[in-house]
Amino acid sequence: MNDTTILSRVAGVRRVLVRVVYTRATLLACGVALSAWLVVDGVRLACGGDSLASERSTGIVLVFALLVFWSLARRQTRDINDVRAALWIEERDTGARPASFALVTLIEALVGLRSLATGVSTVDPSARSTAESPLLQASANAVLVRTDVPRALRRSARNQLLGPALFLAGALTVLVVGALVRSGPGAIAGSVLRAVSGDSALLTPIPPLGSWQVRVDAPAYMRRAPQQFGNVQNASAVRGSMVQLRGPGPIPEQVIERIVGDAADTLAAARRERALLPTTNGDGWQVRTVATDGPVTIQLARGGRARLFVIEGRADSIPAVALLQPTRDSVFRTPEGSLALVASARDDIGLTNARFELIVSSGEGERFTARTVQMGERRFVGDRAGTIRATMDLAALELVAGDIVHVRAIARDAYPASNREYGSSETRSFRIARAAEYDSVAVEPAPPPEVDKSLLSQRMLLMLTEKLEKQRPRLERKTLMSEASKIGRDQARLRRAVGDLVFQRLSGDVSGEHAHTVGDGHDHGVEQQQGKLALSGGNAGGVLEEGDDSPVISINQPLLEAYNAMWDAGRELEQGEPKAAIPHMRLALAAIERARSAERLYLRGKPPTVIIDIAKVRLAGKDTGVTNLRREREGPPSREARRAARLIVAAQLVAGDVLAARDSLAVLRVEALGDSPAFAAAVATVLAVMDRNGDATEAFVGARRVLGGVVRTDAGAWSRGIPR
Amino acid sequence: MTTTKPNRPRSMLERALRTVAWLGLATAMYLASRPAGPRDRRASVLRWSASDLADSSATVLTTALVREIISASGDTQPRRVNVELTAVPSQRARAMLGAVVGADVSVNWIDRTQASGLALSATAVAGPSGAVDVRVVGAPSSLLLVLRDAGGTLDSIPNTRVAAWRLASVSPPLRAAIGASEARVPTRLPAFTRRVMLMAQPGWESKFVTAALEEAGWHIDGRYRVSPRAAVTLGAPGRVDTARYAVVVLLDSVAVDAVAIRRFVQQGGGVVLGGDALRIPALAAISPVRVTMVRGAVAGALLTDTPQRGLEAWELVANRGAFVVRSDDSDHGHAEPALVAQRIGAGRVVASAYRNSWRWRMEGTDDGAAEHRAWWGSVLALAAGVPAMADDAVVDAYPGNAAPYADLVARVGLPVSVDGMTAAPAARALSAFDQLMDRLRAAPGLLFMVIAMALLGEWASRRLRGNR
Amino acid sequence: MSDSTRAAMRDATAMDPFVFATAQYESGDWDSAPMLPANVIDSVARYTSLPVRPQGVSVPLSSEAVFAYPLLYLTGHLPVRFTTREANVLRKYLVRGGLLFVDDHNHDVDGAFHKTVREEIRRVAGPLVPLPNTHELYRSFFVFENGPPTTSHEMNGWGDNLVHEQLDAVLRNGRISVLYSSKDYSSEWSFHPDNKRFLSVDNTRFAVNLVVYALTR
Repeated sequence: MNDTTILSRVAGVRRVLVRVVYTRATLLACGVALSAWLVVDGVRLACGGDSLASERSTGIVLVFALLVFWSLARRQTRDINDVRAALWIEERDTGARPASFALVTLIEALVGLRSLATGVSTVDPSARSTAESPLLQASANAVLVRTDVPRALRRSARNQLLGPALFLAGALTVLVVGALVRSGPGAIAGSVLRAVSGDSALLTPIPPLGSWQVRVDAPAYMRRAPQQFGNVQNASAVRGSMVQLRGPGPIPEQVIERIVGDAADTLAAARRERALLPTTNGDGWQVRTVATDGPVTIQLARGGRARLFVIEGRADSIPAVALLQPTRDSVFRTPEGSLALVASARDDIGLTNARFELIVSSGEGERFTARTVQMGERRFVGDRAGTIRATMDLAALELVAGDIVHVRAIARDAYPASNREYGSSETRSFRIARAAEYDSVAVEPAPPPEVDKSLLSQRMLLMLTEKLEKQRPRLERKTLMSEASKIGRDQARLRRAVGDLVFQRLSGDVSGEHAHTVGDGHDHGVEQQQGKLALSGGNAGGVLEEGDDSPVISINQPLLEAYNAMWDAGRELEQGEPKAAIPHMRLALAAIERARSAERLYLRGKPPTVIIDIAKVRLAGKDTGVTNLRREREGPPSREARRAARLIVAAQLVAGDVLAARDSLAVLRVEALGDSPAFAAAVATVLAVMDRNGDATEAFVGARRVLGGVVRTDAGAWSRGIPR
Repeated sequence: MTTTKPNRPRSMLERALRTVAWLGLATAMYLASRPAGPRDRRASVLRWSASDLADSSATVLTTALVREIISASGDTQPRRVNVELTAVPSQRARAMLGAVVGADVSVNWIDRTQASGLALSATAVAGPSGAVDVRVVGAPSSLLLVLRDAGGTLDSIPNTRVAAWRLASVSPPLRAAIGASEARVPTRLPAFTRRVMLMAQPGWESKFVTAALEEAGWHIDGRYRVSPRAAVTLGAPGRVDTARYAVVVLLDSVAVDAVAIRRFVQQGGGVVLGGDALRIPALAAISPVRVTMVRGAVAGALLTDTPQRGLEAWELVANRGAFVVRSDDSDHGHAEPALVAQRIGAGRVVASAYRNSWRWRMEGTDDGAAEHRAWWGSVLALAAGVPAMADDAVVDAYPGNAAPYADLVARVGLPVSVDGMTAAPAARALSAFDQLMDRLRAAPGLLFMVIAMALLGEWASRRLRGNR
Repeated sequence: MSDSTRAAMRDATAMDPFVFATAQYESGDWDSAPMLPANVIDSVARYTSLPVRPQGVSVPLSSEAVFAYPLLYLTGHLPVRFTTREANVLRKYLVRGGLLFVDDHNHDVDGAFHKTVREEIRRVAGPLVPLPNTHELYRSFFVFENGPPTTSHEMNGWGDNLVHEQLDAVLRNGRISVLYSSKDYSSEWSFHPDNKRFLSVDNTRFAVNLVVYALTR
C-alpha cells in the first residue's frame, strides 16, 4: 500500500465521519424543532386558542430545524480532517498498545506535502523525509491492516445516531397520535394526548365549550318549518323531532344523553343513558338526537367543562272529540225518522279526518250480532279544530225492534303510526222498543194506588179470631156471636177489597163483585158461584194457554183462593164459629202471601234475587284451599324529600359554581314537569332569577315552600307529633 | 482500709442531716395524703365578651384562663374566675368552662347574653319517610320563633312556649331561634327496624291498612286465615320480639298470644290496637282505653275536610295515665278520643278507634289514599320506638346545642348578679400549721431539695472522714 | 253497661262482610248473568271462612257508591261505551285500589262487547296485557296449575270457538287492577247454587280465588 492509497483510505474515513455528524445534526434539529412546536401548540390550545395553522407551523419548524442543524453541524464538522481521521483509526487499533501513532505521523506529513504542493502553506522540509520513510509507511500500513475500519465506522455511527433518532421518533409519535386523537371522537382526546405527550402544558388541551345554536326540526307529518334558537339551555320538542346542537371549535370530548324521570315510551327506556357521537361541521361541531315523549338532558363536555342542554319532549296528544248532537239517549217506538249528528274535534298538531261511528247491535238472550256503520266522514288538512255533521236515517239502518244503535264520533290526527289511537267522543245509544216492552210503559211511573187504611189485614183478623177462640170458654154465647160478627164484617170488607183487585185485573172495573155476575154475557175468565169465585171455561186449572187473551189469570189464582177462603171464613164467623173459621183464614193468608210473591215484577236492573243461606253452606265444600304467599306491595317513590334535598344542594352550589347549580336545577325542573308542575314552575322562577344574575334566595325559599314538607303538629304531652 | 472514728460534732451533724431528710420525707408523705384545705378566693375577673357562638371563642377563652392560672402559679391562694358573657358560648366553650369548674376553679358568670332558655328536640319519625318530628320549648316572649335549616327558613310563628312540626326532610343542622337564643341539633337519622307484625282477619280493612303501611315503606309480616286449612302468608312471620318487629298491629278481634304481646311491649315494642282489636279481652291489661259502644259514621263526612267523622268508630274512654293524642269533634259538643297512647314498660300502646278506615281510602276524596296512608304511618310512628338522633359532636349527659342556655347553666351553674360578683369573699383565718402546709404544698420542689441536700451533706461528711 | 250498649256492641262485633257487587252501566245489558252473584257468594261461603253477605248488590258505575265495593263484576253481551261520568268514576275506583273483573258474556273476540269494552278499559285504565298463568291469582286459594279454568262454553264451541289460554289484566303497582276474561264465566257460573250438587267438580272454584285475591292482595 503506497502513500496515496493510505491517504485516500483515511480521507474516506474522514468523509464517513463527517456524514455521521451531519446526520446526527439533522436528527437532532428535527427532533428539537418538533418538540418545540408541540409545546407551543399545546400552550396555545391550553390558553383557549386554535391549533397552529399547518403552513405557518411547518415554516416555523423548518426554520428552527435549520438553525439547530447549522449550529450543530458547523461546530462539529469544523475539526474533522484527515489527521484527526487517522488519529480516530489509531485509537481503534487494537494491535498496538500503546499506540504507535505511525499512521497519524504519516498522514500529517502527507497532508503537509499536499498543502505544499497546492501552495497553501510552507512545510517543514523534514516532512517529506518522514513521509517517505519506509518504516513509517510499513507501520502505518500495519495500523490500517490491523484495524477493522468499516466495523469501527458502523459502531461509531450507531453510537452517534441512535439517541437523536429515538428523540425524533418520540416527537413524531406524539405529533401523529395527537393528530389522530384530535380528529377522532373526542371522548378520550384530552386524556390520551396528555398521557402520550406527558407535557404539563397540555393538561387542558381543548378549549371549554362556548355558546351553541339549537335547531329543532319537527316531524315531517307536522309540516312545520324548522325552529332556530340561540344559546338556549332548553327547548321544547314534539316526539320524533330532530334536535340539533351546533357550536364552534373542536368537537366535544363527551356527549351523553340521559332520559329524565319516567319517560313514557319503551324506546326511551331502552336508551336511558347513551353516548352521542358528535361530528365535525365546517370549523365547528354538531350533535343530533330525536326527541321522545319525556324530558331528556344532553351533557356536553369539552376542555374540562360540561354544559347541559335540556330537551322537553312531549307526546303528540290524540284528538279530543265532543258529540254535540244528539245530547241524550232515546228510545224510539218505531225505526223511522232521522237524527242530526254534530260533533267537534280538536288536536294539538292537526286533524286528518273525523267521522261518526255507529254500532248496531241486534238480538236477545245469548244471541247478539253487531255491525258497524260509518258516516259523515270529513278530511282535514292539518286543521287544529273542525266540526262534522251527518244525518242518521233510522229507516236506512234497517233497524228492527230491540236493536240498539251506539253513536260516537271519532277523529284521527296525522301521526304516522299504524297503531295510532284515535280520539273518540262520548257514546249515545238509541233503542228501538220491543212491542211488549212498550206495553209496560203503563206501569212505569204510576204512583201506588190509595190504600184503604181502615181495612184490617188478614193476619190481624186471624190473630183476633184466634184470641176470640181462646176466650170462648169464658164468654157467653151472645157476646161470642157479637164479637164473631164484628170480625166477620171486617173479613167481608177485606174479601170485597180482594175481589175488587181480582176484577180490576181482569176487567178494569172496580167493584166487579157486584157488576159481574154469572151470565152477564162477558167472559172474564171467572164467575161467581154461590158467593165464591170460580175460574170459568177452559181456565179451570188456572193455567194459561198460548194465545189466551187473559194474561193474568195464572197470577190471580192465589187471590181467587184467598177470596174464596175469606168467604168461607166469613160465613163461619157469622155463625159464631171462630174455631171453624181459623183454617180458612190461614188458607187466605197463605194465598195472599203467595200472590204477593207471585206478583213481583222484575224490571230491568233488578235481577231475580237468590239469597244464600250462609250458615247452611258454610264450609260445606269438599275441596280445601292451600296456604299461599302474598307478594309485598311496593310503595310509591317519595319524591318530595329527595327533591327538597337536591334543591338545597343546588342552592348551596350557587355560591361556588353557578353553572353546576344551574344544570342541577334544570334537571330538577324537567323531572318535576310531569308530576309536579307547580314545583317545576317554582324552579323555573329560580332559573330565571339566576339568568338575570339576581339574588335567588327568595326564589329558592319559594320553591321549597311549594314542595311542602313542613307541617305544624300538635305539641301535646305525647313525645311524637301527629300532623293536624 | 482504715476508718477514722468520727468526732462528736461531725457525728451530731450527720445525725441531724439524716433526721432532716427523714422529716422532709415524712412531711412530703403527709402532704400527699392531706385533704385540700379550704380556699380563699382570689378573684380574677375576666370580662368575656364574645359576641358569636363560634368554636374559636373556646380557644380564646381557654387561652385567657390558662394565662390566669399561669400567672397565679406559685401563689398559695386558690382562684376564682369571674366571667361576663354577652352571648351564649359555643358548645366547646361551654365544655371548657365546665372543665374549669370540674378542676376546682370557681367560675362565676354574669348573664348579659339576653338569651333565654330554648330547647329544640328532633326525633326521627318511625318509618322510611325520613321525616323528623321537631319540638321547640322556649320562654314566652314577644319575638318570633324561627325554625330553619341549611336550606333556609322553614317556618316562623309567634312564640307559643311549645311548638311542634313534622318535617318531610331536613338539611342539617336544624336551628330554632328566638331573638338572641338559638338551639340546634344535627338530625342524623338513626337506623331502626321497619318490620311490622299484622294480626287481622282477611277483609278490606286488613287489605288496605296493609297496603297503606307497605306504601309507606313498612314491611308487613302476618297471616290471614282464609279457611280452617288455608291461609295467606304476608312476609315471613316469626316470633314477636323487639329485635325483629318495631310494632305489632292488631285490627280485628283475633286470637292472640297475649303473654307474648305483653312481653313485647314491656321490652320496648309498640302495639297498635285498631278497631275491633280494642275488644280483645286478653289485651285489656295493656289497652290504654276502655271501649263503650260504636259511634256511627257521619254520612258524607268522608268527602269533607274532617274525613275521620265519616268512619264508624268505637267510643273510647282513656285509662288513667293514657294520653289522648287525637280527638274528633262530635255533634254532642265534646271531643271524642280517636287516638290514645300509653307507655307500658319500655314500650308504647296506641289505640285507634276507627273500625273501617279503608273507607277513607276508597270512599274519600282524591287525596283519601294519601291521607289514609299518612294516618296509618303516623299511628305506627306514635307506637314504634326510635333511637335518639346521634349528636356527632359531644356525647355526654348535658343537653348540648339542643338547649345551649340550659347546657351552660348545667355545666357552670346559675349566673350571679353583679352585686354578688363584686361582694368581697368572707375572710377566714388559717392556723400557722395550715399556712405552713399550704406553702409547702405550693412548693413541692422545696421539700425534695431539702431532703436531697441533707442526704448529700451526710454522705459528704462520711466520705470526708473516710467512711462509706 | 245498659242493654242498648250491649246490643250495640254485639252488632258491632260482626266484621264488615264481603259484598259481591255487579257494575251497572248505562249502555249494554249489565244484568245478563243474574244468577252469578249468588253462585259466587255460595262458593265463598262453601269453601272459606270469610264473612260474606248472603246477597249481592248492583251498583251504578256512574255512582260513587261503587267505592264501597273494592271488587266489582262487569259483564254483558252488547257494546259497552262508558259515559264520561262512568269513565271518571271507574278511573278513580281503580286508582284507589279497586279491582274490576270484566267477563265477556258473548265469549266472542269478534263480538261487540269484547271490542268495545277492551277499548273502554284501555281508555280508562291502560292497555290490557296477558296475565301469566303462574300469577298468584291462580294460587290464592285453590291451585290452578294451567291458569284460568276452561269453561264448557269454550269446549262447546260457542262464540269464537276458541279456548282462551290466558286472562288479560291491567296491573297497577304489581296488583291486578282490571281482570278481563274472554272465557264466558258469566254463562258458566250463572246457575242456581243448589244445582252444584250435580257437579262432580265445582266449576265456580276460580271465583273463590278471585275473591280471596281481591281481599288479601
